[in-house]
Amino acid sequence: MFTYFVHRVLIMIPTLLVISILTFVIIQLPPGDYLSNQLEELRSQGESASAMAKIAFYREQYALDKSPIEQYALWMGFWPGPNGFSGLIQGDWGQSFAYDLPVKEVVGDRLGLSFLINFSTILFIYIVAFPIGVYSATRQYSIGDYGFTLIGYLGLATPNFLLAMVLLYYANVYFGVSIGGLMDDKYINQPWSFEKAMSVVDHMIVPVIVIGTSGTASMIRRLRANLLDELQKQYVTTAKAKGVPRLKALIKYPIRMSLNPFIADIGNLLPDVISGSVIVSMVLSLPTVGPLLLEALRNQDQYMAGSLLMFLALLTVVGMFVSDVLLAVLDPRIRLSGGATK
Amino acid sequence: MIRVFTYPRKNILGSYLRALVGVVLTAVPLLLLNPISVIVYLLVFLLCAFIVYGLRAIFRQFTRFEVSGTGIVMTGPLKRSIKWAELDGFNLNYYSTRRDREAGWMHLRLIGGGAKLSIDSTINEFEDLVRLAARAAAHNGVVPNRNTTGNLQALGITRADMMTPVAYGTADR
Repeated sequence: MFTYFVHRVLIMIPTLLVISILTFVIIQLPPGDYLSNQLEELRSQGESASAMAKIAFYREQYALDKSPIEQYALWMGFWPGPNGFSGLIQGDWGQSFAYDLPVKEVVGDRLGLSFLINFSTILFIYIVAFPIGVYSATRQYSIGDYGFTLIGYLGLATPNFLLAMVLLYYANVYFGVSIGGLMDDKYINQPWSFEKAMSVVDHMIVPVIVIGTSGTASMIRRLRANLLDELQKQYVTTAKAKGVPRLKALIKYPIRMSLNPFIADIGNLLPDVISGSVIVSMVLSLPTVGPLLLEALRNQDQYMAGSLLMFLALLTVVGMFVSDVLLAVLDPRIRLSGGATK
Repeated sequence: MIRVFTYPRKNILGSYLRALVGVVLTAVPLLLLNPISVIVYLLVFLLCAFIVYGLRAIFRQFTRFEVSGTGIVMTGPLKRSIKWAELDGFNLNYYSTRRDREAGWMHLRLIGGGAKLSIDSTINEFEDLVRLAARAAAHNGVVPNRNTTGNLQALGITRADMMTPVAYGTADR
């Protein structure tokens, strides 16, 4: 297992480096940059000396007039800039040109809240999908199975943002409450307190359900299909024939084996949930990084977009790593098409 | 007759290379780039893992497994032995870092008489070693788990193989 861990880490480090290069290339791809656009705008309005000086300062500070390789090295913190080593690795996320503030300040609590929502959503998906999937598989073609299948298909077919709008409308019309935002207005920009945390928990219920619905539906279908496959194998029949109690015959191996997609999906769920939550965050006015990223990409606010994309990529790579390690622990079997090598 | 199993030089070299790459990838940012504390903790942890991995490669270079009719003895920097008659734990796992689960390696873990032995499939004639251990395990009534059974089948070791009348293998005959 230790060998596996080391080999896996050795793959993860270059992967992150390649992702950082790709991220940087992608945010550089559109012609021009935020500062060039600003410069044009200022020129059309009649130049303002202080604004022009600020733009010139940013150009020098972030080596925007230098080669892309230098810019990348500076952004990552691999190369010293005017202030020495000061990049992502050193915790300096750069400057948001659109907000004229450091990216770290603009992002603020949003990163933590995004993580909280996405983590809660994945937890919600697992907690809801697991019992329903097991129930549907063990009671195949029962009324309950058909009911859950129907709900599952509805969940898969309904776009998240539509569900968000429907819930917003009905919550407002029938319960007189606004479920937008991630906390009551009075707690916005206030220091963290127990009341604020409880307000966040209250407001998180709807977004988590909205973002998690489609993931839950697909997970139920996958768990059901996998468990049905396992339940039809000979070892289950043998166990039943030998009088092994029904619950034990179910839990001992079939459920453990059908859990593989659950574990394997941790890595895939993270990017799905994050990208799926962007539009929902806009509809529900959630203070997460999704809307900020969208805005940064549209504005060509390169350090903001780059830092957020790197954060999301890091989450995905770490998610994949965790799911691979868990899978290796849970199911260290060879596949018949594969083979051990020396 | 005693059969000796060792890790091949080529494989040991690969391990040294991995350890070196890992140490460079973690130590260089630590020493030169002045990262933030979270990254420092992470890199220090990974650096330690790569150093342990390198030390294990050195350890493996000088380790030999001597298998006879009475048991298996590990000699080298560390000395351990398990008598076949005392073998009460037998696990064979398979790991692969690839998505298609190919090109991986197996890991044999033997437990008995208060000692534990871990052997990777990169060792010379690994299948023979597994076959001998599997026979001893079967003779002692050790029931392999589902993973071990599947991996034994993949190596072509069937239940019939394990139950052959020669209890401790043919190595010393």
